[in-house]
Amino acid sequence: MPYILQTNRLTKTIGGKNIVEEVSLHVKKGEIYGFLGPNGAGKTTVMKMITNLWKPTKGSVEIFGEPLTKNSYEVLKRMGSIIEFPTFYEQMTGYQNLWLHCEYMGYYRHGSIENALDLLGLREAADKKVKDYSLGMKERLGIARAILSKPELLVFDEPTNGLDPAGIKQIRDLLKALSREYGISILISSHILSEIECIADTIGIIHHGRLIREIAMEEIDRMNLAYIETEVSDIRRACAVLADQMGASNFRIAEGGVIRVYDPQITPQELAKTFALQDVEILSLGRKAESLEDYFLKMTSGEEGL
Amino acid sequence: MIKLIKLEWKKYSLWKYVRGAAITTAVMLGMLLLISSDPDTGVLVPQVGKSTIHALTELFLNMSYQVFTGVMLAGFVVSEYETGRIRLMFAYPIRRWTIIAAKIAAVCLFTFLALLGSKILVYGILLALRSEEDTGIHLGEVSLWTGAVLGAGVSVLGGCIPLFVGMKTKSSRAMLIAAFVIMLGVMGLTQGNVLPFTEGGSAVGYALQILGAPAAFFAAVYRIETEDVR
Repeated sequence: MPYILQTNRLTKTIGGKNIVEEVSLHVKKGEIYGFLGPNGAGKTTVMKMITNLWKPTKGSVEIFGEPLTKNSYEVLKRMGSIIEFPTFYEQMTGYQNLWLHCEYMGYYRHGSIENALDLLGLREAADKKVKDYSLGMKERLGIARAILSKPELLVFDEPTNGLDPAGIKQIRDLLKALSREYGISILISSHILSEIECIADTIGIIHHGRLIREIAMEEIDRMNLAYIETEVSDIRRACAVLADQMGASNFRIAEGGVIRVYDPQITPQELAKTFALQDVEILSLGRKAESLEDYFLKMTSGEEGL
Repeated sequence: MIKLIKLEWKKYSLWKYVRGAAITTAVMLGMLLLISSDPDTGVLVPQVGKSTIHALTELFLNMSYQVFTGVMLAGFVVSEYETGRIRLMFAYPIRRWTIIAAKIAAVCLFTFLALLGSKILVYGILLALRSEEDTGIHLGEVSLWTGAVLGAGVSVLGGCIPLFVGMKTKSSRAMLIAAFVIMLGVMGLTQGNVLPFTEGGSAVGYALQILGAPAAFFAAVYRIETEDVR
């Protein structure tokens, strides 16, 4: 599988401590890769190494099939990024900041600045000084700058910070369009898991500096994250019935004293019938699906994977 | 490189610094006129202590522009680190070394020209008030112009020395303090406050500035291509 971006056992050690350890992530061409992890997990560190701002202590980064070295300047021409937060020359206007970007990138295409401003809904604020922009406008201007020179790979570190719900939706739609229509690959980190769930094709979960899971969203859907949740009057007896009478092995008692049955062979009807026959009083019963958030929390709380 | 220098001037609104240079020159001229005027008559006197008006002009302008160079470098280079904009700059397909060199060149070129322009302006004003003999400013003498150009060049170079402190600490404030301290040190060396005021004593001060600037620049950008950008 040809990857547009991959890291090979990427490690960063600062002051004798491994901030990031043996991270191997793989981003396919044209896909949106959601990079998830709690605060301090090492997402930004990995992204800094991918954008060549930080040098790995061990391991390597490969972009567009070429290893990233300190002299990989041509690679940077084909990338757009926002790391941590977008920065600007605040006394210049939004338009001038984008013009400056084109000059440094050596990208000259008539109308490209106007296009980027239109895409991010900033045309009217183009001649305003950036120091007068709101936080959300700055985020949008940062994204406009990142996509301005039509890069093949975008690296966004929490790009929806400071945006209102409408702004978040706008960015989500834009990223989807960039990926689906223009084939741009996007590596995006976010702490808003539902955002990633909506747009990502693949997710990577990093925790304590280690990539603990890399999985396609399709696979998460296929992994039968749907389960039966039931509340009973006698949990102990219900568990015994599940194990002994129904042969279920994949179930657990969740928060609030409810039982979650992940076994795909067991249906709610069958469960209700067996419990009734075994005198287990059912207080509630229903089929539910686990969200990416549940999956993420399960992964990062040290529980066994599904 | 020329394009990068022009972009630096554009980003930092060169006119703001032109205004700053004009104010600096006006203040220095005001001080010169105050020091060099007879307190009773208000007329310029040809000799101020051991110095001529010409020597004081060179001293005041060179020293003030040395600090001015440090101030500009703090804004052009060190503040990029403080604001995090350096992450943006180093994400461009240009060598980091070239980016920093363009910034330093943009500052040095501007301050050198501004200092020379200021000297010409101040000479002109002083000569309008007193004769060439009284001021020691002989416009027809080549030595006046070579001295002015060399003095400007050395002062601008000396203004780059605090960059070492700025880059190591990534702090504009530390760099500005260093600029003032170095200016005072240079003044002490070249004016005989530290070493005896001889040609040799002055030469030590000038040599330190000429050699110190490239050394500071090298130390500031050494390993810049491989260091992590905070």
